Amino acid sequence: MAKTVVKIENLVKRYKDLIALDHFSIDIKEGEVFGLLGPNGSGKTTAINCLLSLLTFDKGTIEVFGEKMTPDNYKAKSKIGVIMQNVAVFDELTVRENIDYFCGLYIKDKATRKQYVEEAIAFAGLEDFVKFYPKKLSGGLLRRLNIACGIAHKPELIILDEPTVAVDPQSRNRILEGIQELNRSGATIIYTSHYMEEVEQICTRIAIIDKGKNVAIGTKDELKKMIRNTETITIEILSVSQEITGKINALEHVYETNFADGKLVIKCSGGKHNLVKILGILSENEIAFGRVYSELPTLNDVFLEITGKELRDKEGQ
Amino acid sequence: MQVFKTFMKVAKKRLHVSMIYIVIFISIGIAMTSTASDTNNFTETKLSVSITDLDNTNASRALAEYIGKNNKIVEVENDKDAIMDAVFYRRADIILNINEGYSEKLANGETDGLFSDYRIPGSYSAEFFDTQLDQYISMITAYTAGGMEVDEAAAKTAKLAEKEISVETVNFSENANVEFGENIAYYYQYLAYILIAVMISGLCPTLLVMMRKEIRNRTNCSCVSNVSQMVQIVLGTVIFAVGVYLLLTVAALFLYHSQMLNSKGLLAMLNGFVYLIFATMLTILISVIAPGNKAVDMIANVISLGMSFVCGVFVPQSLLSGTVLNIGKFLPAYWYVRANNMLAGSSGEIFGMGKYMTCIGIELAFSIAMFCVTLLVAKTKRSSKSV
Repeated sequence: MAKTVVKIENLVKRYKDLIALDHFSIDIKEGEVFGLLGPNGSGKTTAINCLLSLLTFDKGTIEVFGEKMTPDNYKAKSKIGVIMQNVAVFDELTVRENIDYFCGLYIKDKATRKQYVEEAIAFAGLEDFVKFYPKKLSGGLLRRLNIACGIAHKPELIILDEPTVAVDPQSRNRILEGIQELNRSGATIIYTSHYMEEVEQICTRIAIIDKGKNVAIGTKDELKKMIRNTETITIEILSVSQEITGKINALEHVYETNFADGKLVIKCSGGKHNLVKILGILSENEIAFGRVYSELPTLNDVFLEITGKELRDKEGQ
Repeated sequence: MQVFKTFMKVAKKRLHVSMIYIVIFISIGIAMTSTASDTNNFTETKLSVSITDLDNTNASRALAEYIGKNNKIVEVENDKDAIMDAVFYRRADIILNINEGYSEKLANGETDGLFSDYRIPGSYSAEFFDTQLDQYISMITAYTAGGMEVDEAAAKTAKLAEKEISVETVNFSENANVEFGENIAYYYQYLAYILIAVMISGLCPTLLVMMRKEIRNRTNCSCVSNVSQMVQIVLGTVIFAVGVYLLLTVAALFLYHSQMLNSKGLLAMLNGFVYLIFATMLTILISVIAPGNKAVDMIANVISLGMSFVCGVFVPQSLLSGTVLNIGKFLPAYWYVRANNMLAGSSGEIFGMGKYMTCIGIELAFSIAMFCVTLLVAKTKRSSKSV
């Protein structure tokens, strides 16, 4: 059985009257890519800052590598790599100098450090930019530098707090591939994001967090099984009578039917051949329809069903 | 020492700003030294005077001779336009007519109507000439009042006037100009401005970079303890401050070498060093409260120039109004300049070690107060962040 790398139990963090973390608990095993998914302001960064002892908390316990995490637990800190949401590099230092500085906070031996810095540069694909200052780098390259600074000392636990915010799709894919590569090389990853596609793509286990509470935890399949919805069928249609929607709604596995803006959206819970049965009703009643598509549930559906609101609603905030 | 090394690297990037201030300051110092005049010399001013003797007596000729000894006699045509032109174009400072009856009036003890003249009203040279003339007439009338004949009195007065008066320039402080020249005094006076400007514009941006929230957070996540980080940053700050001080002191030694190597020169260096401590504390406080890098230059200018004007760095304290000086007393630059003035003997305040040390003590007290405020602000900011 894999060792527990991070164990957070009943963590409570208050900002005056606001409860940022409300009895938040997670248990992360060695080798996992653990996703913390939640909208902006849900408490992801607060949880990470508490985990890193950057913030004090009101209640609960945090253990990292089996030891209580405190600001002076340098043994645990030496095994952790941090990639913060905001890019934390020196504008006055070049790419190589920046990586060397952050690597040097952990690795004292010059030769080893030099080797690690070169490896981090290669990992982030920054070979052509080593003498560049951060201000000369594009947003994507800057994010990659931010990651290189966090992983150069080869940490066993890597915490990435929304590392792909404001990054172009190409750089985002490269970053996600890099994270998977780090995981393959043995690092345990904690990945926070409000982009569910990213979390679905790379995380082996996911915790959904809302208003400081851990509302669900499991693999993506386990999370999807937690909800009623198994299939959402959308049919483009000009008009449909209440009689017809009533007939569709009466089908065994259909639990919700909505018609709006020329689209008939039918949600099913389990069962097979739901689409065939629905199209059969439409054909029997000689109702013409356009495009038809069937979607499996996403993490957004999971979030929607559990919290009653869309994950994406908060993105822009 | 990763934090320290990076501190120095970042400071190096901002060094050009500090160097601009220092180079300009030292250049002005060199210029002042090379154009300096020997202020210990005294030369009597000689005026250009034209004399028309309408009395033509022994007494009037004696007066003309007396005037000629102390001034330069110039010829001006006896025509009103020519006289006016000579006065207007400053060919003559004064056109003097010794009126007819001069000798007779003096014999009778009368002094009104002895002369008529053309002059630029209110001019310094005319006033100076009046003093000479009044002095001469006073002596003559004193002799004639004692029963002496006018001619004899004129001869006696002329003899007295021949005596050379030795003039010695005396400064307020004992041996002030011998040990501590005017140029050093100016150098150290302006140092109050330059230290603040250099420290804020050079050191503050470096501290701001090192204290940036994102950088601090990331560094705090590492194996380097908070105490170690602070020690390394303080070490960098001290090296920067001492470096600036040494540079400016070496420049002073280079410019004023022998004059610096005496008790007053060393006291001036001590005053500068104590003020440097204040400048460093002020810089640290600003780095804690400054909203960002862009505000630093503005803050540096406001504080350095504002304090310099109020405390008598640019304008001598003796020329500042009482209200301004009272405000200045609440700022360390005032005490710095006052101590410096005492050393230079340029303010009328006699140098005394006790008074000097009081000024130094007040400067140190300001530094300690600044340090306490910095700790308080930093603690308040930290606690408000962690709330």
